[in-house]
Amino acid sequence: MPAPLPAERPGEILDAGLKSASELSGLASGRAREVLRALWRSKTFVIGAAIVLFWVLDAIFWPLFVPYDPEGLVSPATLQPPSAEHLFGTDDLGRDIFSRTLAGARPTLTVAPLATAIGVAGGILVGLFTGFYRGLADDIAMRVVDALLAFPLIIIAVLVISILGPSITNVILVIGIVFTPIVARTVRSAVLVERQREYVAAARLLGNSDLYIMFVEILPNITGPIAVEITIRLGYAIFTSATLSFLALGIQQPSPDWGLTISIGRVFLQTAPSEVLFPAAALATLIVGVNLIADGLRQVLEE
Amino acid sequence: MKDYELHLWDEFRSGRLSRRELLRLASVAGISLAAFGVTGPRDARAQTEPKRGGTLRLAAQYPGKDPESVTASNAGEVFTYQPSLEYLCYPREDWTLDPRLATSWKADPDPKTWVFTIRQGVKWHDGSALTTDDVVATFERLLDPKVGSSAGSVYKGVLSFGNVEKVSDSDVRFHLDKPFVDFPYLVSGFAYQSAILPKNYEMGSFTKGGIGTGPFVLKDYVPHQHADYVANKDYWGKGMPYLDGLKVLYFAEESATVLAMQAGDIDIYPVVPLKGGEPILNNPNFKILRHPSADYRSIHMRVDQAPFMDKRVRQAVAFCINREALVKSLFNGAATVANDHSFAPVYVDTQLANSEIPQRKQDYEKAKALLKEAGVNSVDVTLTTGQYLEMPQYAVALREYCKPAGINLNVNVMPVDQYYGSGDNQPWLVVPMGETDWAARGTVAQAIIPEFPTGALWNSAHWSDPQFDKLFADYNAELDHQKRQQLSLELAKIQHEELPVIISYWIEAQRATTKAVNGFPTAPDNFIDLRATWLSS
Repeated sequence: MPAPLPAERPGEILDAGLKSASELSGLASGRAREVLRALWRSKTFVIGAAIVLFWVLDAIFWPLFVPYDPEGLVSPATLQPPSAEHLFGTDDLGRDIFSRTLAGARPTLTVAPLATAIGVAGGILVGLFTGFYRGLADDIAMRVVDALLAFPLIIIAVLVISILGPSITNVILVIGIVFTPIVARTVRSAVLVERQREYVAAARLLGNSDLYIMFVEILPNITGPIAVEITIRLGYAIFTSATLSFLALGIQQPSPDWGLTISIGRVFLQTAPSEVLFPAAALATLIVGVNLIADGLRQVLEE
Repeated sequence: MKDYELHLWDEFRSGRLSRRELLRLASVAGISLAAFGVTGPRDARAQTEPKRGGTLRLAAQYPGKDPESVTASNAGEVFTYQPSLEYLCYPREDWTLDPRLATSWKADPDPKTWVFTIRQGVKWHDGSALTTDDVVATFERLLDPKVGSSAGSVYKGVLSFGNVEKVSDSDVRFHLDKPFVDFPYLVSGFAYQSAILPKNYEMGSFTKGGIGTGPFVLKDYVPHQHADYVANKDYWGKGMPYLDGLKVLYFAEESATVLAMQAGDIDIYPVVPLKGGEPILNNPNFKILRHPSADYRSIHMRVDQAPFMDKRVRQAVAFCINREALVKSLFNGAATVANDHSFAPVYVDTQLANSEIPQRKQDYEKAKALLKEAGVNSVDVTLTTGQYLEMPQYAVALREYCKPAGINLNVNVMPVDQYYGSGDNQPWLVVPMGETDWAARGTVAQAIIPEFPTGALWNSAHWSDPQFDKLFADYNAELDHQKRQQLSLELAKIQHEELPVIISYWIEAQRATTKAVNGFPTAPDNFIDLRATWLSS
């Protein structure tokens, strides 16, 4: 994971002379338009966004497209290869793999964004406070973060889920909590740079409270690294949620979740690869899509 | 018991008993039919002269704990001690019992008391002689509540601690709690814990090696890797074993075992999964041994709790199931449809039970009508099961079958060790609805004991039916073939009607060997008997 660089910020313009708050926000939105235009020109970003958009729309509207009930035992012939009737074939219980693959986007795209949201929210809080106040609390918090980062994500997740028991809520919480220190570290380093800028000192002179400075002054100026962090985390969340499902620790049967389906289907890999192949391909495209967005975003923000 | 011999002979001559059944019943009762000119079961050994030598490699699942017969509860543990330890008798391919450490047995004077005569001249691997003291000590160890053997489910209500008596240097007498016609099955491989250990056996010492009377001496045990054995040169069975050695290889999961078999690392795969085993089952380079079995899954419904207190609700669930489709989709046809009672066709005296009770079939009209009669609009309940073999798939299929009748099953699949648990935490005995895997037993009675009588150890449905309990006691005491048929029918009817558990299918067993393996029998108990096995190249 490359260290995200702080984006060019409206705060720098402030150096030239104090501007009013409305002028500042106008500058900020101008910057946002500029970034959006640059993103639109970035092929990486557009392709990634198209892939992700496809799966998001699918996750919302799949009931309109699927030819069969994804949980229904629709065919007496099990483990069939793709045919006109069943585009991706049938699984070991005679369910339609095409329908299941389409429907499988929903559990994944529910768990991963929620987990990412928790991780990012927690990370921003911890990062802002530790970066802003420094001192002993910062030292302690960062050593705890170091300790957490020393463990591979999946090991912590497996450990916690084994204790709490597998459920969607637990998966979301675990991924979110494990992401918190990772995001916190990124946010903190961005805050460390920002807090030395003049606009922060100016805000202090104006007698603004610490909370106001953190959330109203600093936070808007570090949205760049946070945006990159969100997309990177989202990719990891999708992957982690699928891994937990694969290990039977996440989403449970009879959900068409991709990780779970791959886990069930892998025993038939030699004789009927469809049950693994299609959900695996779907999962791969989604992760690639999210990563393309992350790359595109980073390139644009770094320019 | 002379009467019983004549009775069996009469039944056979009148055509009410097939030759197969005659042999099986006679062998269980310890009766020789030579006087009637009926020869014993054919020897399972191959026609050709066995070739000597070689080391055979056998696949086993990870033992759950340090293997030893007293506490065994998984197949990996059993496969580890069975090459070294032996039973009083052992089931043959046709379910008759082969005398092993006992040479003969009889019910004397009635099926409440059984006398087993122990084989003379058998030596332990350390050279000392097998005695009746060893046999008595083995059973007392299994029955002693302080030891905590896993054999509790086998002997509960049949044989109690302190009731195994040494009669002489050759005879051991079992004083049962109540008459039990099928008792010899409970000292065979079907009660896999009942392998004979030395009198002075120390718990936990089996894997140190050198313990047993069997054809192979354990030399080395490495957890989660392998166990190594050499042939027992002083084995009592003439000329056996034919192999020089044996290696049991442990695998964490079935797909790894399948790959190892394809790679040529295994000679025998004793229990091939019906799903996922296709690359082996469809490969012409392997020999596939198929045999009928009475393995089944119970879908229990707690009769003492909503929503299943009313039997009509339980019946409604049973009427939702398409059993033919299950057999096809879960087992590729390697199973037969069952009818919600324990009397599998592979057992003796079950013809009436299987012909007189109409087969329950998918019938949504009936299911809905039953729910209506019971005053129930819809049912919402969680079906819990373990992540093992086809169990989750069966649960998912059930969920779909039940939907159209307004019965909503919420499937909860737990890791299988958590589902069964231990001590005070055994979810499978508590949940309102659960799916459980049951292995085949030697007889119907042995299969019923742990699951159906009032207060049975594993009565997960919390079912209690005084009439069933009474008839079951009568059944176990009854020798008369016709009356046993009749009692079987009545017991089966109660199970079918009251429906504490749904039994949808009987699973066939499949084992695979390489072409070089000979003389490896299929086994009704799914366990291993390698003393007559040999390698041809």
